[in-house]
Amino acid sequence: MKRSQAEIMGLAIIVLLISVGFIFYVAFTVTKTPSRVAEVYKYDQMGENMVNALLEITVPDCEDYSIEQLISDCAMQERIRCPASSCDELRDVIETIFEGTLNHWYVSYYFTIKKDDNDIMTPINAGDYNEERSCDPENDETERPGWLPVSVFPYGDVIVRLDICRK
Amino acid sequence: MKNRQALSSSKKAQIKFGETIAIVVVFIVLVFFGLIFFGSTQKEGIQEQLREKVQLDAVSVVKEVSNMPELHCSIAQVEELNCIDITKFASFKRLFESDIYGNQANMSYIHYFGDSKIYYTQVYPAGEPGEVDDEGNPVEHVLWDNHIDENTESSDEMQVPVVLHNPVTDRRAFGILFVKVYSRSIE
Amino acid sequence: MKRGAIQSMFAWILMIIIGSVFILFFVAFISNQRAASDARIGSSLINHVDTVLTTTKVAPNAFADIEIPKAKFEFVCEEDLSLYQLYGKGINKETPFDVIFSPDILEGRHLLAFTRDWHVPFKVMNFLYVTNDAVAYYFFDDLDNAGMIEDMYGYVHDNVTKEIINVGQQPVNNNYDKIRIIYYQEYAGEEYPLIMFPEGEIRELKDRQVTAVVIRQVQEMTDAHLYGQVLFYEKEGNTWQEKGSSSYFTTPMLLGAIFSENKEMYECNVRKAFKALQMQAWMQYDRIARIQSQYDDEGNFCGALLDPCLFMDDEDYGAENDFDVPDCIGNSYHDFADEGPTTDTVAGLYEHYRFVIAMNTDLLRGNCAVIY
Repeated sequence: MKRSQAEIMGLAIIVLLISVGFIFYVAFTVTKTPSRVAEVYKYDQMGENMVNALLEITVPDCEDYSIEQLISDCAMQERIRCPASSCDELRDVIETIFEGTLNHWYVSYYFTIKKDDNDIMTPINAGDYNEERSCDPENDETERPGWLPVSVFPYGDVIVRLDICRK
Repeated sequence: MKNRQALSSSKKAQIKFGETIAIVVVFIVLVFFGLIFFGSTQKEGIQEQLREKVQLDAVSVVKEVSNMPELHCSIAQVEELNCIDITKFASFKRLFESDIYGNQANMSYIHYFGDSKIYYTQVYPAGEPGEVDDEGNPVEHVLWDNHIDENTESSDEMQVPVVLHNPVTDRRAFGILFVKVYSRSIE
Repeated sequence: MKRGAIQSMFAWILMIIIGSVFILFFVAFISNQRAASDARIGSSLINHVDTVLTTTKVAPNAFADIEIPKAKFEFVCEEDLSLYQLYGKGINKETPFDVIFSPDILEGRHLLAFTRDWHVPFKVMNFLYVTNDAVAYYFFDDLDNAGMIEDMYGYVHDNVTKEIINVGQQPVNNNYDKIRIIYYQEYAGEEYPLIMFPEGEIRELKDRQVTAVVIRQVQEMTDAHLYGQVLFYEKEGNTWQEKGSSSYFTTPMLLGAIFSENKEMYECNVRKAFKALQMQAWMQYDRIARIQSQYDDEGNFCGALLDPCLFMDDEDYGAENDFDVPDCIGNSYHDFADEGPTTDTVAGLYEHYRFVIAMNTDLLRGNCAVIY
């Protein structure tokens, strides 16, 4: 092989090596997923923060009973009259809150209040407002749920649970 | 004959020299493009790090605000989670505007809050006087708003559900605490 | 010389020159990148430590064991400068308002950090204590300390290297960078007994490695958990040399004295805490005075139970208000915090502490808005 041909071959090999290196570098950079720290934190805490806050609030239209007290009453004897029953008032308040928060943020969620695995209030599903946001905690991927027990002495505990689905 | 040979030799030398120069030039061009590419990917990497830092800052501010004794509800040193005492909130807000401590408070708390906006709105009971404006939008109770530079990019707004406790009436409303962190973008 | 030989020679010269230029260029580039990389690593380490400390600091009674590559951290707290940094690297994080009690230098693969909340009795802030496993804390229990030594020992997080030593026992050196010994002295009027330097291998250590803190009850019958005096000692040969004294108010601050390198760093951090207390005092005054005003307007008896003057003087509060500013007589939390950690200050704070506890109890009983 003539010398000049050998030199050109050498140049060609260098260009080839640089190109291959370039392709690997681009492939590595492009496939790196962007950081989602804030989003992960927000959804991870959302269920817990929501339930914690919800149980504490008082209902001015119902003699300032707390949600926790309304849940107790709804699970037991429904003595409280607001004039609506404690169960109806409870649902009303919770729906108002979810309308201004989870629905507004297009969050997919499923909210239940159960005593011994029986619903004491019809579950609230984001899908009731927007089908695309429907949440099925048994089958969908979910974030950490928020749940708290409400003691209903002597009948046991009522579990308030909010599942957030990843959609 | 000798002249022809000399001329031919000279031409060969020039060609050889030109060849060497061409190789060097091609190499410099390759290195140059390589450096430009390296620089731009570095910039991309730094921008991504900056975006992540903004998000981390937002989470950090949320944690700070959620745990500040200046804001949270407590009874006999027992602190309530996810609860803001609205009388404390109002006094805290006034601290930044006070003659005696305004400057010191701003210098002190910028260390914790940075370039951010922190405020809450009341969700329930909805429509209470003082909680909605004339157009029916929730009123923003702003604690801190330090968005000083227009050339900034922001994190997503972090929202934290909170109880808004009025210790005088002992009423507890449902609200959302918002935290939005700003950061300079790299051009 | 033949033309071919000259040609060959020039080709070599050209190659050497060009090659050298390229090598120099790349060496400079690599050096530059290496310095940038060092700075990046240092900055990344400081950010990592800062993230963990920030997360730890906001929670009361939190603990963090921060694993780091072997590094030397320096903590600085002076009048106009407060920061922590990688020693000798110039990469630092300023902490003008954070209260961090720590030795001045910490070297190793771990940083241990924990918090305690400071109540007076309303919560002001969390104090952060930073140390590592190369610093040992020995609590000397001579059985004459009303349980103070045991209490302080229990107050220090369990992951910190600590031990109680009794009379007749000596501190042991397990290759620690620093050893701190904590003593307690009950009230003894004008004449407090001398603190004897321990026997044993501790005497072989360098002076700067061994320090002591003496907790002193300043009055008979006072609860030293709440306030007292603290003295700082350094080893000089085989004796203790006093390096200054200060005061503390409540156990978290006393713990700060135990963890601080010296009196200067301790008082620097205490001054930061007192500045935060002053702002809290303003907020408490503002809040309580307005609540009181609201109660008074409603004719509610709760208004009579509130006394905003405990927190601040009406003159210091300022003019911009839309409520009746009460006439305040006497010192307040705000005034005491202005004076810094002196014996009179802490005694005065203690009196306010008792008044506020009593006031809060009455408010709780009356179903009124509470202070804390």
